[in-house]
Amino acid sequence: MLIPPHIVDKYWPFILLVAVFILLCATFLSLVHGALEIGIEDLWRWINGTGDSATNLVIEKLRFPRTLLAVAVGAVLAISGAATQGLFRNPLADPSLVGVSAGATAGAAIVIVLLHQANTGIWGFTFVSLGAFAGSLAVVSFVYRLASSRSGTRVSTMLLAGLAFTFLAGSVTGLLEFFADNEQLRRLSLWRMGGLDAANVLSVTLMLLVGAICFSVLYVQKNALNVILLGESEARHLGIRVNLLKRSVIVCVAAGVGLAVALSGTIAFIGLIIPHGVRLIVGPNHRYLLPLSAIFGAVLLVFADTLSRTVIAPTELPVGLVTALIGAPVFISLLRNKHYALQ
Amino acid sequence: MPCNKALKIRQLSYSVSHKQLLNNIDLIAECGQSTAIIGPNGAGKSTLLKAVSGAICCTASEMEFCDKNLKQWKVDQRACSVAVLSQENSLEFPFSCEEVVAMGRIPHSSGKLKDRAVVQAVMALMDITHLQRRLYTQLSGGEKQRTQLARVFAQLWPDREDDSSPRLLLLDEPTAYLDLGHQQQLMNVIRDFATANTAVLMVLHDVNLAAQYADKVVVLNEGIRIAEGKAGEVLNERLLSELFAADLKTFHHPETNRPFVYI
Repeated sequence: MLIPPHIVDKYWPFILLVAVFILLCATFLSLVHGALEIGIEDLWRWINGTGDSATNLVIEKLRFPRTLLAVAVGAVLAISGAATQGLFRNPLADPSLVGVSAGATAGAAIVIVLLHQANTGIWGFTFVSLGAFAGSLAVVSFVYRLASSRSGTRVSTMLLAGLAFTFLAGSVTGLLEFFADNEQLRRLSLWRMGGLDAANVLSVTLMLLVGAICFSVLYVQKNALNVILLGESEARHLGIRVNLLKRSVIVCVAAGVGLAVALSGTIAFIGLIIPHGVRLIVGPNHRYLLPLSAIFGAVLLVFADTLSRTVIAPTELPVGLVTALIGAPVFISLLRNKHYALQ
Repeated sequence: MPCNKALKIRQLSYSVSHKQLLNNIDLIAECGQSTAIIGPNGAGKSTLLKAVSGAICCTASEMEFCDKNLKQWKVDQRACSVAVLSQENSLEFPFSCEEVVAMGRIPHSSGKLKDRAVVQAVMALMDITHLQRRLYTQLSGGEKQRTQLARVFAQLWPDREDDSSPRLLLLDEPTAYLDLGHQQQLMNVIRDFATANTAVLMVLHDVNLAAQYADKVVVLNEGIRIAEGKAGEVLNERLLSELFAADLKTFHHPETNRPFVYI
């Protein structure tokens, strides 16, 4: 661990401020860079309301919603990862363990291959997004039901059920891919690699709202999430309603990650790596882990999205690929840190 | 309100896949006293403690603490009066020692200042003040055990000086991993807690520790309570030799005159 807990406790407002500042910098970079370079003075004119209409249009209709969507999706993926790792008491857990991503992919595959609906949609959402969201919710609810009995939810059963349903959903997707034509295959594989180009006012508002609710629900339970790391019985002895905690974590993960995946494809990497990395720096206390995971998840995705738009502009790289390409080296360098060996 | 200050258990039974692990156990552990459960491996000692703590579902005609049904007590209220130390502690996340101890204060809403004072006090009691900033995952077995004990003591620490509400402390092998000095220190702390209106029910492997420090001894064998009472009255050569299927000799401690077992 790089910063000891009593130092984190003492300088917490300062640490939080630095993190928010980094996020603002990343947001700023994302707004000015892209296929069309926008200068600082253009941005300033837009804020003042005196910019030319073409630039304003690019900022308002494209860059700004897209950046906000990246912030919300990155934050939701990271806090869901942190909460899942807490619930499974395993730093290697990931929201995809309960079948969210596999269910979403199967849902998207059904819409693309069976319903031939790729670009149409209702209420500002494509049918692919709706299918993915429905798929992820369906799989998570199956997994949760299978693992729950009258005496409560067994986390170990949930892990196995998640694994089984991931394979099942994977087979459904594979089967559909087998029968799909080239066009559909390409659409599906592009959707899988992730992209934030679907951002519009409605999707951004919804994602921000769901993200804010998920974060509040999880942050309120920060002590419970800490205590459950001691063990389920220990948490119960310390007055934690363990089943309520499990249910609220699962609902948050299903809704948050389900929506994130539906809007932006599978960007699985953030949920695993960001909380793990933040834990290496400030320790496992959810009081610090949750806010910092949210911020750095947002930073990583905003940064990755900026790169994906600029590296071979005007063509866009799928953001899921870029996220792993820049996230993995950072994580590997954290692992190489000698402090990690001591934990 | 008249309150009979004791843990009262009648006809407690527990079976798992047709194997009766606990068979009609009756037990009373009074506030102000420490009660030790002893018995050979697999006698049901830890199972009994788990049944009382609510970690497993058992059947009992009566299971009350101070006339409150333990099963119907709300978890968050219960956590203010009942603390449990389990045998296996599997924390694998690098919290600092101080953070782990502070988790014991989560059921209470006594304020940050009071909590910090309690954490400092229990860490001093368990001789881990010098470890407070070390990571739990880096501690030795004995240091981890003392940290968990400090957490449990912090949970039962009274919110106010004049608070003497009855409390229940359940400890499963509290002396595991501890060296002789820390065993003695711990038994003294447990005795002090007991006198401060706490009913202590603990599983002890070391018959001598139970004989020297516990006010009462409960002897379990194959899920059946075979004896209960003061150590001097219950623990004799014949019972212990039969219980542990070993050739044991008992003497009397020169100072306390309590029984002392020799292998």
